[in-house]
Amino acid sequence: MVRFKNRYLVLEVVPVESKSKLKPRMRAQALYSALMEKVELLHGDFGVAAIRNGFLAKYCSERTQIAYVRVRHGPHKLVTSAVPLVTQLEGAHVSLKTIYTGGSVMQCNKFLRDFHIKQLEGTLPLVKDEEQRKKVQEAFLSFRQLGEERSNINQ
Amino acid sequence: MDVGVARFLESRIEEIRELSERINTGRPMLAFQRLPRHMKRRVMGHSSKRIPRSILDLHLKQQAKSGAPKKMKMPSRKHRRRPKNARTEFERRQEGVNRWLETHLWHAKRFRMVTRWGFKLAETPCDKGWRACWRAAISHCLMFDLSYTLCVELSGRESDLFSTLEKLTSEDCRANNLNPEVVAGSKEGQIVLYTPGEYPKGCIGPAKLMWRPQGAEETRQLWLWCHPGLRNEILENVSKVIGDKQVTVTALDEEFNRYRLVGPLAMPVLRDAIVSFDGTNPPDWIDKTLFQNQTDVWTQLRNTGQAAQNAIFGLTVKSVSRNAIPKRKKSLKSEEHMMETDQICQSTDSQLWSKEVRSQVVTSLESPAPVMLVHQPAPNGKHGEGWDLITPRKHGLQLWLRMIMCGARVGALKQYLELNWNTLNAEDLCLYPDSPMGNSEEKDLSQREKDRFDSLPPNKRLGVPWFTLPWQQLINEWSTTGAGSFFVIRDKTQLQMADQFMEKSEECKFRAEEGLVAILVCLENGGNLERGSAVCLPAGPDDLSTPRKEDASLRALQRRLQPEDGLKVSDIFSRRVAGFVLEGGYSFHRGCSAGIAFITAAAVKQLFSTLVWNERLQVLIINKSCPLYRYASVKIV
Repeated sequence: MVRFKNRYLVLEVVPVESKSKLKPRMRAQALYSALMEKVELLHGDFGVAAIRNGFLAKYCSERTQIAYVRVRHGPHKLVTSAVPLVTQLEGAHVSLKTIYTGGSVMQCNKFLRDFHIKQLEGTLPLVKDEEQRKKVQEAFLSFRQLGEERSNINQ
Repeated sequence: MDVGVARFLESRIEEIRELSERINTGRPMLAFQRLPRHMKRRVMGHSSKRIPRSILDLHLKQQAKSGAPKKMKMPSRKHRRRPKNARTEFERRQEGVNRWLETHLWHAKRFRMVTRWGFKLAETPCDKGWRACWRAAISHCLMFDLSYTLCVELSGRESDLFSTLEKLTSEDCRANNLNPEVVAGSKEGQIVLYTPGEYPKGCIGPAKLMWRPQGAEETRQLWLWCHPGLRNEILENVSKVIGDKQVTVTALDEEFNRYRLVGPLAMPVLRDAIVSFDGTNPPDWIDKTLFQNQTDVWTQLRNTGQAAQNAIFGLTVKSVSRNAIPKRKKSLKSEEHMMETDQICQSTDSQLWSKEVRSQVVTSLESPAPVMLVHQPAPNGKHGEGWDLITPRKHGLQLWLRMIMCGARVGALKQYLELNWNTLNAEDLCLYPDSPMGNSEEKDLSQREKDRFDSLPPNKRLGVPWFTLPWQQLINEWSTTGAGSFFVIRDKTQLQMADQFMEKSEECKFRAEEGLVAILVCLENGGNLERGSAVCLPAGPDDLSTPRKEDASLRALQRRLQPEDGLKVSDIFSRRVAGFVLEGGYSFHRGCSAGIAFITAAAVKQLFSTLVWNERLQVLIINKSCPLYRYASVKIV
């Protein structure tokens, strides 16, 4: 039979208001229903029906406010078009950014790791403290090692 | 600001570490996922066949560990549609019309089943093992389920029973009737039943006779074992003959199983399959002295030679489940058997006679059962010797299965008939064309032939002069005076005279002109015969010099389907028709085609006159659909 292909959208949930305000509560259910709402708005009943089978919203981690959304390949375009429209999650104002669309969770993980490393590189100049800087540099080294190990294992 | 950045950095580093772990340890765990890309196949996920052999073991272990569900094969349509409750379904199928024997299910899986005489019987095996069945009958052990045999019980005073039997049998058969051993109950007798007062005509059919050994009571029991097709005639005539006398007649339906074992290994099979009751915790009905007697005799009875012809032995059999014989084996004659002992064993009584005992035994399969073993002599002196095992209802199947596990081969109706006419067994129904049973069989067979004939397209139909054998017409044509209905001459004295005539050239006289004489014809020089082949008298030595001879008139006949009215049966061919073949085919026993035919008594006389120019008795056989004559040797049966 034909294979079920999925698309995993990696979303960054960015609160619009200042950080001191409430973090949007990390409830996958909220994300799910918010997206459904927007898809219905944009694409109507058809959109909702097309997406429902295989639609899943999960939070990758609390700390980083990254969420995975799984959709069937095909209808995923309906969701990607609705993502920018989501402005509220459980009362808090948020902005969702699709940072990556992958075919599998593993690919998303790989992307995320590189994404975070890049972010770290970006914040490195901001670090004034020497100790902290060393920590970060050590961390980078260890990541590289891990990366090498990984490539060894896979051979 | 710093704190925030610090926190951010820490959390991010943690995150990265976690992700990296996930990625690195996210090694595929399943065997087939670890294969290099070019060896992976899509189907591997659900079909173990497509996995490279090197990891197949590992894969299967993983499957087992994960409790992967077994691939459920959709059951076949037949399996899906089978009845939920097999037993009630079987009972429904038997309602009113066709009875199943106890061994029906066993036979149904292996034989072609057919409806006969109110029963569903096995006709022939599906594996075409007829030659093997013959070999079994000659050298090993062949077994038949003859449980469709009807048993009619007569009970009353001895004198009354004698007078009843007298009227039902012929004078010539009386010798067998009055045989003291038969009357005493130690042997089984064979009689031919006739409608009272009509002998030699009005034949009903053959029957076997058993008397219960005299006990303390005055009344005696008598069993007549006969063909189920004769049921109505027998019951009618017996009740007519009884009249006022105090003789009770009961047809014992579904009370017994009767299995016949034929062949030199019949006794070893019986000895291995039958586990005689050892006497522990005997049920109430067991007669201790009788039981002791039975056990003693059974221990002595080692081979068939030790039994008198037709002797009856009673036995009490232990109920043993089939599982008790773990493996199939072939029962052979042991060394004890090899030593032919002269010691003839005495017949023993059996508690199978008693109705009370039978009703008790039937209730439970675990209880020991009374059985009877009846010796069957070889009809032609060489082949066909064996034993009949008679068991009560419900206790037959276990023994049947045990005997099969001991090496008995099973034959069906066709094999039984073949064996009978090969060995000239008097039970063979084909020796009774003048009985109502013979008539209805004749009608059945001819109807079947006619149906088959009609179903053929016209250009495939070979000219057939007759479907139903025109015995009466033949008799009429051969008789000089007006003839009545035909009958088969069974008077042994007359037949023996005819036999002797061959050697002494005396004039052969049969008393009546309406008689048919049974002969055995053997086509020693090749050719085949079938039911309905005509037996013709040779006209002169030329007929026999060349093995074949064309008959021009048959060609003309082949355009006609049936002889026109007015055309004589005996004049259809250029040689005078003396009779017809009733049953025949290739005889393994003789290595050529042979058959049982009947010729008119008058024709026998003419046949003997050919001895003037011929050394031995020979006739010409011509098949219905073939214009060639074959010559065959003749022997009076």
